[in-house]
Amino acid sequence: MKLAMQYLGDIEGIGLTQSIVFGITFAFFILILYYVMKTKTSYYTGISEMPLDDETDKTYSEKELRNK
Amino acid sequence: MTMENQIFKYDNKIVRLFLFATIAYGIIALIVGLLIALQLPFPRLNFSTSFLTFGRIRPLHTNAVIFGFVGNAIFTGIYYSMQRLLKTRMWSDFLGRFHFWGWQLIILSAAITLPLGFSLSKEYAELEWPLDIAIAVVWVAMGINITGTLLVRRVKHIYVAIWFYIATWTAIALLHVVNSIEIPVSFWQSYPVYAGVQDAVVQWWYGHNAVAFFLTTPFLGLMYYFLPKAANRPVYSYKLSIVHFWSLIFLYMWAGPHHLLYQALPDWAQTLGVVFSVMLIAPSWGGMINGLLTLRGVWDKVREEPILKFFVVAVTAYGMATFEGPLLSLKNVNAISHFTDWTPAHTHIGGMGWNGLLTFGMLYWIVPRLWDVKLFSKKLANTHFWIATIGMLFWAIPMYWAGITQSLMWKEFNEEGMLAYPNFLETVTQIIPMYITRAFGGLLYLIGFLMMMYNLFKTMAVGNFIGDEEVSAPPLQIESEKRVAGETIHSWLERKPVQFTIWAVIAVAIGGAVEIIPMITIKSNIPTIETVTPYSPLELQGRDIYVREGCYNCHSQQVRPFRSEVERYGDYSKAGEFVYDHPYQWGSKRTGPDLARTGDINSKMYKSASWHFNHMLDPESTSPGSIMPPYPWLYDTKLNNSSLERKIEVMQFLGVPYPEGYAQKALADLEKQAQKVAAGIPNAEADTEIIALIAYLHKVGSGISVQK
Repeated sequence: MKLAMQYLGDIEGIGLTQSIVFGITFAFFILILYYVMKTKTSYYTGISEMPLDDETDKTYSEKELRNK
Repeated sequence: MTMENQIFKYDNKIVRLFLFATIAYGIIALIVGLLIALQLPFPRLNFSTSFLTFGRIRPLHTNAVIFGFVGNAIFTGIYYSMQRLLKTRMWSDFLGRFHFWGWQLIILSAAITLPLGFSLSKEYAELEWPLDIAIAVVWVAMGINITGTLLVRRVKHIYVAIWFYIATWTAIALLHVVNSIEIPVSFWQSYPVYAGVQDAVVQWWYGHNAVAFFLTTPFLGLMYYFLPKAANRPVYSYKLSIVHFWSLIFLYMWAGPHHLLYQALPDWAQTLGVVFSVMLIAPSWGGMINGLLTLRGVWDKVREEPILKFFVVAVTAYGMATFEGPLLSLKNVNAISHFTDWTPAHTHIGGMGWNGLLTFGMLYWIVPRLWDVKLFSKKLANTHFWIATIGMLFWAIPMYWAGITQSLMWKEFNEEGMLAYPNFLETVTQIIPMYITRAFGGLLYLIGFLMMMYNLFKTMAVGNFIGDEEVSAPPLQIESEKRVAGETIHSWLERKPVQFTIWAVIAVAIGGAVEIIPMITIKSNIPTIETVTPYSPLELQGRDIYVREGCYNCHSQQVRPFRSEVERYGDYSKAGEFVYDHPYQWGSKRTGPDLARTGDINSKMYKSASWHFNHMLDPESTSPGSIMPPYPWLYDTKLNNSSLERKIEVMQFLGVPYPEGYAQKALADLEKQAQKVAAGIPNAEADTEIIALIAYLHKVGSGISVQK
């Protein structure tokens, strides 16, 4: 611990700007992570399949089958 | 309650328009790219013509790639995927056409104005003020259409791809407006309101985030739509995509100053740029991993399907480029890489790999579907994939090699403590073979593109284009505007496009605001230097010629505080030296030597007026083996002083301390100085452009010289 404190004490140039910036960024990440962890995966199952639900593909597949 | 399906039609015609434009500008961009690649090893290919000189057409290449090829590819993908993801036709056919024709008119105008030398010289923002206004108008039209489409959608949830489109729209609007605040001096010329350091910070905040929000976020949106479709599997982790989205758009905006490391920028700004660039690797790789893991269990398909091959290498190139970006942002790596060919190598992994290959895969996906037919030749598409990938490697590897080689040569000292390669040209001739190999890589990539064109047009020829595609979907069931029980804030946001957009704007605005506002408002960030004086009218005119010819494309004006640079060029650059520079001219690449000290009589870079006069007419006469193009038109063209008064007035408005009423006296001063400069050069005519340019070169960096 003493070694760690000594090492940290040697770091220069940590001012108010850097501390505020770090605080904002850290809080931002925590918020997103909290939301993501809290939401049930099943909530997104249907949503993540949205690109696959497309009539254009059906039309094309029928045509492709005909071509074959 | 079950709802009856509504019948409606997708507008495929707008997709087709943008698709054709993507192909057209793609081929133009690649041909111009190949030409400029060849101009470096073979300077004769500049043809001694102003319109085809490297400095003028390199911006044409970058603009054609970014806004012509990539821009149209983005719009192709957005108009195709948005309609299908939201189960609705685009809100306004008229706004779609307005967006299309307006955008093409802007790119066409760029293709004409850039070779004519109408340029602001800010990289990727070179276009002059009338075109900047046009871009803003077209962008707003596109935004209204996107918002309208979101509001008339038939699905509750807005899929993650569209979040990226929303972020693209809002961030580019913000970047473009802030970076393009300029005061016109004539119809095709203006001065940015920012000067020197401030201009550099705003420009690279824009430049870096143009990469983020024009070349990255829209393509991530396309990846989240087209990759799952091509693999026929949902995205690996939707949760990861949420973390990916917010952290990426939040972090990107802070990283701009990494383009200005060791340059005349306050330390705190440089440090923020470095730290946020390093952090960026997390969301970037989160996106890459999400893309690649979408293929879990279907990697066998990649063997069969060229579209997936394109996507896999595109996403891998994205991963490489976003690993390299933070690496290049470390100050010790940047000290080696910056100003060298390492930078274009990095950008081309992104451009050719991520943007290019993903676009090709998308086009191979869309065309058979819009024309309702099988792709003409899968084998040809496979060949295209291999030739494009190999071309990319032939392009990038020699440039990495060239960059590191040249940088080490710049920095090497001999045993006597002198520069081992004091003549800059030695470090250029060393890498000529790499330039030739790079051009070969570009040629391969171009051949691949031609193959794709043939393949797609043959597909279109046998297919039957479906302009208005009839589909059906149930209408959107309106829920409560407010959050319903069990709904989290984010789930609520995911169905509220306007509120979502507002939060996206807040996320992107914080980083920019923290960096730019102190730079402009706190005076101590840019200490003034008493001996640095405004440009004389002749020097100002010469500076405008320097900007017009795009000299910044090959010459920096920024000596970094390294022993090797101070020894080669002279005293390192200070923030206060650039307070009258609208726009700044620091550059980002040294194909030729740095010019920050050409006016410092104590510097090795100082050359006589006669030397400059001969050099610009025939660079090889003064520097045997030089690859710089000649500028013969500067010797025939009379200096145009018609807008001189206005230029001085605009500079005064921007805070340059010319005496009151000086605008009216400026011409007399200009003529007097021109006579003086010309008197020292045999056969020189005082009223030609070259005299103004020489006067400018003798002013650059002289403020420090006087101090000594």
